[in-house]
Formats: sequence, structure tokens, C-alpha cells
Amino acid sequence: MKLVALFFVIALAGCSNLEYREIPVTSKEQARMVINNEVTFLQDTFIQSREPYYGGLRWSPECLADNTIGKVIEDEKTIRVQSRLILNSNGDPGFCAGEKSILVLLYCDGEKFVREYKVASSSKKNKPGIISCD
Amino acid sequence: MRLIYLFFAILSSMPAYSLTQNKLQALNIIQDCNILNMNGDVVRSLPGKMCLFFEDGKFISANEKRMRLYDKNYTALWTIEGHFHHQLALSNDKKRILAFDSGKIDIKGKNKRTDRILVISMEGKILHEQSSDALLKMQKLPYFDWLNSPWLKQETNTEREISHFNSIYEIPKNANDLPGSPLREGNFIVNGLTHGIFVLSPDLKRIVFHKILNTSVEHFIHDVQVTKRGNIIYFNNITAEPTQKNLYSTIQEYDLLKQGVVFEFKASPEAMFFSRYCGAIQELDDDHILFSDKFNGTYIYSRNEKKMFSTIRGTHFQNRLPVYNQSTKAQDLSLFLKNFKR
Repeated sequence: MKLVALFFVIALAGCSNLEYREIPVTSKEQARMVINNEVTFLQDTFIQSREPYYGGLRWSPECLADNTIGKVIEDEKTIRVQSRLILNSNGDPGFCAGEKSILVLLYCDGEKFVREYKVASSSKKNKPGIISCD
Repeated sequence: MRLIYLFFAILSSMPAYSLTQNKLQALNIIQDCNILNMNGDVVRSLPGKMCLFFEDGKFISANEKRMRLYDKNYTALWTIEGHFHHQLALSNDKKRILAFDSGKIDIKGKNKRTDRILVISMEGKILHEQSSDALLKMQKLPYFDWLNSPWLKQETNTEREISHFNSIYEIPKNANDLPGSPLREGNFIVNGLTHGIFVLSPDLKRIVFHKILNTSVEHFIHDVQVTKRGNIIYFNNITAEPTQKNLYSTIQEYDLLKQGVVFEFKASPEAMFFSRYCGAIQELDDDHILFSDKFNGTYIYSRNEKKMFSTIRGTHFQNRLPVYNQSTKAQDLSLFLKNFKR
């Protein structure tokens, strides 16, 4: 009976976890590369530029403010970066209108993948500390 | 039996149009480095000002600082530094990149912007190059002396430019690909605003043919290409008009042998379609031509039916901002979108 109860507790705890996409890696080194590469991609996407003849901006200041790319933070056990982005319905970045979201890339020491979380800013699941290796 | 006959009779009376429409709906629009669907919605927005996309998820991205080939994971495979402008195109075998970079020339102690014409391998090696000042000298054409916009000044560190080259294509197989004809497959057709159309040898060293079109005021023309019919097709920004009061733009197909326009799209009234600058064009099939102007939209026009098949406004208004279009093309990017992993 106790075992059954324990099973339900574990199952419920599991349900409250956020879903994430697994990006396979073979080492911490590769995980660092994947995460840095994603940051570079986002930074390059939102490079401001002007049309050379009329000076039209590629991105409005408001849009750039809505898409802020975080810094990679690394300690002994984790590599993590969190960005605030507007994603389209496919979850792709590079937009100014759509779902305001948090994109987190997280590597937990010993895992064979980088976790990619995409959580709507308005989601109740978007709570500080919920995305972690614990 | 009658029913079967009736079925086939109805089927055969249906225009082939619907098939074409399905085919067109499968395409994407490439506007700079944005990928749109045919309804004009942006589906991906990738880094860069000009992009070429490949089925395996790789893409080339160029801007005013560099050109890079990225793999499907957005790892840079090579980089060429340069001030890339106007357009990127692929050779007929899709194994070489055709591009424009900017150079500088010292004229009386002042640096002026020139154009560099480049043919680049897929490994990032410059195979052939030519400069606009050399071409103008060869053809004994005067440099012009245009004041650069504040942004172009900043990007190139030059106050003025001597030329304004804007399109390059490798000439494909075509009806006039005959001995002695300039339109031989493998030559390059390059257009310089006001300076005319240059057909260059495959190594870019030799001018095979040159012509300033008198169908345009001062050869204000963009995106010159050779059709499989052996004619040239282009966006004529300022179509010659005797009074010069009501300027208008056209899409024209020109027979170089007969020296005359064989097809023309213009608005009615004419002045309702006018783009002083820029302009892109692409033949999608024997019937449909895609073209875009600088300010208003992208259009797909049916030559056979003499009517607009589709108008795509999303290329000119994105992220709540107007977009000044330089180059718009259509391509089926379903495999790129599937294989690109970022």
C-alpha cells in the first residue's frame, strides 16, 4: 500500500515538471558549444541593421526590448542561459508579435542532453527556480 | 459509361490553373533573410541581410560586414569579410555563389565606392572577381559621382560612389545560346544602374557584350536575367516616357536581336506602378512572373491571363515596420525548414 502511495506521489511530482526538448550531446564540452551556439544564433538574429538607402530599421526598439538574450552562466554542475523572447506558433524566435516566452537552455552535469525549455511568460509554470537540475 | 465520360469531360474542362495554384502555394518567399509563406506571413527570420537556402539545412548569410556559410546547426563553416550588397545568386549548377562586394578607388585624394563582382565556391574561395572601375574603363564609360546615403557612408567609409551594380546571374541554356551570340550559357549577365548591361566571360575578365537600354530613362533598371526564350527580362524602374511628367515602372522582356520589347507589364493607369529604386523579378514558370518593388508589395502576374494571380504585402510590412525591399524571390524551402535545426 505504501508503495502504491509512493508511486502516486512520484507520478504527481513528475506531472508538475516542465516539459523540455532534449538536444543530444556527448560531453559537457559539447553542451557548452550547443548553448553558446544558440546564444550566437539569437544575437545574430537580432542584430540591428538599416536599409542602406532609406535607413529603415530591421527591428523596432520595442521589439528588441521584447527579445532579450541572456548570458551563459556556468558552475561546476550546470550550464544555463535564459532569454526572454517572442516565439511564433512553432516556437521559433525572430518575431515581434506573438507569445512572450522564456527560453531556457540547461545542461546538468552527467546528462547526455541539453534541456530546452520554452515557457510562456504568462504561464503559471513560469516560476523562479522551477527550471533547474534538481 | 456516360457518367465516366461526363466525369472526364468535366475534368478536362477544368483549367490547369488549380494545379499551378497548388504548386505556387508550396513555395516560400525569400525577402532578405526572412522566409514567408505565400500568404505573406513570416515563418522564419534568420540572421543576415541576404540569404541563400539549401535543402540540407545549410544557408549562406551575407550583410554589410561579411558572408558566411552556416550548417544546419548554425555552425559557421567559413567567412568572407566584405561589404555585401544588393543580392546573392547561385550559378546554374548551384555550386558557386554570385555576389557583389564594395571596393574603393582613390580619385583626387578621395576614396569613392566601387563594386566588386565575385564568383565564390561553396568552400568559400573567391574563384573570379572583377571591379566596376575596370569594366567602366574597358568600355570607356564615365564614372558617376553619386553622394552616398549616411548609412552607406558609414558602412563603406566613402562619401561617394562611382557605380551602382545591382544584379548578376549566370546565363542559362536558352534559345539564343548559339555560336557568336553573347547569350552563351556560362557567361554572366551583370547590370549596372545607368551604366548598362554587361555580359561577361565565365572568368569575368572579358566584356562579351554591353548595352544601355533606351527603354529606360538613364538605364534605371534592376534584376536583369536571360530567359530560356533567349531574351532578357528586367525590372524597368523608370520607363521612358516622352513628357517625363508621369513616371512609371514596368516589367519588360526585351529581344536583343530584334532590339525591341516583346512583353511588358505596366499598371493602368501607368503611374500607379512606380518604384524609382530597387525591384526584383523571377519567372516562376512559362506563365507566372513574380516581381516586387521597393515600397508596396510582391506580385505574381499571369502573362497568359493578363491579370494578377497573387499580391503579397507581407514582404513590405513586418514586425510592425515598413520594409524597403531590395530582393524578393520564391523557392520551395520545405526541406530547408525541415532540416535547419535552430
